[in-house]
Amino acid sequence: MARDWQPDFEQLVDEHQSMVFSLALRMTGDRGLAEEIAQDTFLALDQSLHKIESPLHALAWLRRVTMSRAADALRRRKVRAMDLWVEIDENHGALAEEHSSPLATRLEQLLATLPESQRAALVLRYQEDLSPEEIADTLEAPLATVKSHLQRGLKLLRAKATCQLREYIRGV
Amino acid sequence: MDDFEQELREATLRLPAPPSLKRKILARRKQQNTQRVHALLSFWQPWPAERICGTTLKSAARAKKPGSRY
Repeated sequence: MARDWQPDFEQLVDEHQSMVFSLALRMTGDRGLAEEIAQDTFLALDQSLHKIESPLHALAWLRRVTMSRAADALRRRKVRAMDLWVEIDENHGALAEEHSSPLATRLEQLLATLPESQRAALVLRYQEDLSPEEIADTLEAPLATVKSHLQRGLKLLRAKATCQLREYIRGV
Repeated sequence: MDDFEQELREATLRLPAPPSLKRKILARRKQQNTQRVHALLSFWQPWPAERICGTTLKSAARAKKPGSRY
């Protein structure tokens, strides 16, 4: 069957580089590593371009491969949640400055302290606005597991945010 | 979606990619394509030379055999 859509590699890079880079950065907390993951992901896309059938397929493919490569990179580096938070605090002050609200800045830092699976589910839910079903497809995980990660992650994040806010008020 | 989730959404907006990212991707892509072409050429290049040598040696061997037409 003939394919109507002809992928344009450069256009795909233009359209999706921000998405791929943001996912990789939020998962690894390391700007250099995130850039490396983004480059590798797009080069892998170039190799698989003949299999991509539509713009939506390209988007879903990029999300899946970015998350998988970020998870591999984390496993290789054995970065634990707390280390990641420290790294983000130390190296990515610029990241925090991009938010208008101080609460949003703090939330992003707290998000980095969550366990990897919960962080992955929440980043896909709130950055990419995906449904639990789409997240399950992206992470190749059972739907029930994803729902549980979303619920627990959100609960933990709320608890941490409340605790941080109290400390902040006490400090002021 | 409550206020907390709205804040979380704002906290996780997509970030701009580094300005050099696309250039680096395209440079690595070009380099990979060049390497692929070189690998392909270096795979096929020895074949004609080997064939030429093989044919020459075979002809020479036949020529040395007694009763050969050459």
